[in-house]
Amino acid sequence: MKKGLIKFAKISLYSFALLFIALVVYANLEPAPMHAHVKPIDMTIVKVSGLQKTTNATSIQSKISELPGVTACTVNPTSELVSVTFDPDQTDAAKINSFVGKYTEKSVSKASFAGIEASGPQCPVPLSYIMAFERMKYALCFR
Amino acid sequence: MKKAFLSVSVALVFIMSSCKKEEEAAPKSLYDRLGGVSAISAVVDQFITNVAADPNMVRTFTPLLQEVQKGNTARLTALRNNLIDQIGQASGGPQKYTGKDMVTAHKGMKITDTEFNSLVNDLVAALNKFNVPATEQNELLGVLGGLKGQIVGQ
Repeated sequence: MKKGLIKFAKISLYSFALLFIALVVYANLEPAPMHAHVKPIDMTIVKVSGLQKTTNATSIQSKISELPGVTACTVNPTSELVSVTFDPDQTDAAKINSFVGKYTEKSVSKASFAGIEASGPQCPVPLSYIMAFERMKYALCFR
Repeated sequence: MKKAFLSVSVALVFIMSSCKKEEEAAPKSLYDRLGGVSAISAVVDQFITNVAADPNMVRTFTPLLQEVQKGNTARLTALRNNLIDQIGQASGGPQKYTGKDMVTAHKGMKITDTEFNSLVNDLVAALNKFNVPATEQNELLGVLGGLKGQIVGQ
């Protein structure tokens, strides 16, 4: 019984080691692409009621762009949408949304895109799994 | 002997200086003129926010926008990575685009001319935000404009 367990543990250990070595070799077949060296971003999109009447969309945009961690911002008075990309290590959506509300002095709500049918090819494997695998691959790439 | 050494030295200096001139004269790639990967990623981020707030783009980017609002950034990250690689490669940078080809990526989306033109306008607005000169803009748009046939009406 004890011998069998040791044998099983040894086989498992060797299999994991082999799998890890194979993964490291696969990750180093080619250098990591440049996008692997760019910090990841997050995005928030809010609807600002009454933004159509505003005349200072540009100043709102530059004020939001000055917030720490914000990488880009667009204020579109036609759609009344404000979209902001940011570094999630430096700020978060709640802080940005709250600033937008305070600065514009208007009602801010999370933009809704529900009810619009998605078109185009949809991958059966969740993209988050593919992205997680890609992150692991680049973490093991030393080139 | 001294004379020969002097003439060889002069010849070497002349050859080396002419090589340097040739190196200096080599035109910079569009990638370098745009400012490399950091500038391209800044333009891509601006382009993404322009698209996200553009009412003409909602239909095309619905899955991405819906997932972002649910707090899932996988599609956003994939789009951003692909755009950085695609623009980087198209402008002569070291990036290699590894995403789907344009026909496969847009199959079934039935993108219209209006939607494609709005997308181009969003990109131009992003380039303008970073004061990218007209020459570089036209070169980049020329490369990407060539993909229109593979994107529209698929």
